[in-house]
Amino acid sequence: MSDDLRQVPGNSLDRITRNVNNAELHRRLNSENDPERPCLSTNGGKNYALFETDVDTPDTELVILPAPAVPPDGSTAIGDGKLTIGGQRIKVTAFRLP
Amino acid sequence: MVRLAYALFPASLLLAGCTSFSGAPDPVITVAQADRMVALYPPDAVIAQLATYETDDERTTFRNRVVSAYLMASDAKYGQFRRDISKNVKGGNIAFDLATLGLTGLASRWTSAAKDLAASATVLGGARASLNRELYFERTLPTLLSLMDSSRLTVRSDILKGLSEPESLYTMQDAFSDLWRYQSAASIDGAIQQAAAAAAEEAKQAKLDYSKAVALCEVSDELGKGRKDIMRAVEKEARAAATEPDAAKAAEHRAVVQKVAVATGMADAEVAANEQATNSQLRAISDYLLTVCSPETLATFRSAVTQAGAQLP
Repeated sequence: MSDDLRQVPGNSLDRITRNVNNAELHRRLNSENDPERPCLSTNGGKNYALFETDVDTPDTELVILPAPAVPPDGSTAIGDGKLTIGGQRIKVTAFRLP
Repeated sequence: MVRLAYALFPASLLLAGCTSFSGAPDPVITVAQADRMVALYPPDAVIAQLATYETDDERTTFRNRVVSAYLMASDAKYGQFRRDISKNVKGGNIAFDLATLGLTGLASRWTSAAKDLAASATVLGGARASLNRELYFERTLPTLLSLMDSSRLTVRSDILKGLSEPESLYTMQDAFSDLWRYQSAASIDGAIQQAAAAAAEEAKQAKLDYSKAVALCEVSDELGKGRKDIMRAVEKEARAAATEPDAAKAAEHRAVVQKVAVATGMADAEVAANEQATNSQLRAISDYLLTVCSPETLATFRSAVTQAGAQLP
């Protein structure tokens, strides 16, 4: 397995979530939850998602919520990160939905 | 000209009204009071007076009294400095915002002066932008103030630690030197240097190379689903090849993957001889699919995938 860092467009959490979901093609959002290699990060005002590659396309969707977040029913946490939304850096957590 | 004066009148009232805006209560100990306390202890006189005391206890008590006065004066001035910055930024923005709103609002109702009002609103808007650029810390101000607070606390703890020692170990000269560091810690320039150093350190520690990150395109849910359908179909062929005990049938599944890889532009793709080679082709297909951002391109590729033998939903 290796990693693939992608710049994610979108100026709202919903759009970023949709774009990350649509990018899970033979890869999935990194679930190591390593603070030095967060699954979601921001740099220079742009947002990035780190994917694990060479894995089957997930059967389920993910959701990204502002932290601290109440995990959706039956979900599992993928990892934490930061995103820039509307010029503001916010902490987020990504969850894999059942 | 007269109309312009009328137009600017409400704005000037708003600006004047906001000059007293403050984000903190008035201090109990004023800068003037603190200055008067310090005036009792000019450094050269302090050193001279210290020499007249015979015991270390007397010198320590006197040193602590002097240092306390200087700390209080420094704190009072720092407090004033913080209040001034806060007042200037908040008051300045609010005044300009209100003035701009007032002028543009009036412009829509007071047609005879509309042009003049709109012009003055533009001038004020530009003035605020200029002010913020000059101060450049509307957003970074809290960070810079935190850095200054942190630096001051570090030096203050050094001073307080020194004051617990007898004057023979932490001399008056040492204390004056630390007091100088204490007041120097309250500097915007110093805080910016600290912030820059922290940012550089953060960048050094970053484990992700953002410069090589390729941007994703935004696609509709329908197109996103279409891409996933193709990817899952090809993955299914790869899994079938890996688990198929019949070598000939396994090769057929791998051939499907190979044909799809060729359709992505991977011209030199051959029927994979092993799982590793199949994975390499799957990666190429997934990378290609991420670049498929239009329904037309997806439809063309979907057709090629079907011709390759993959079963699409």
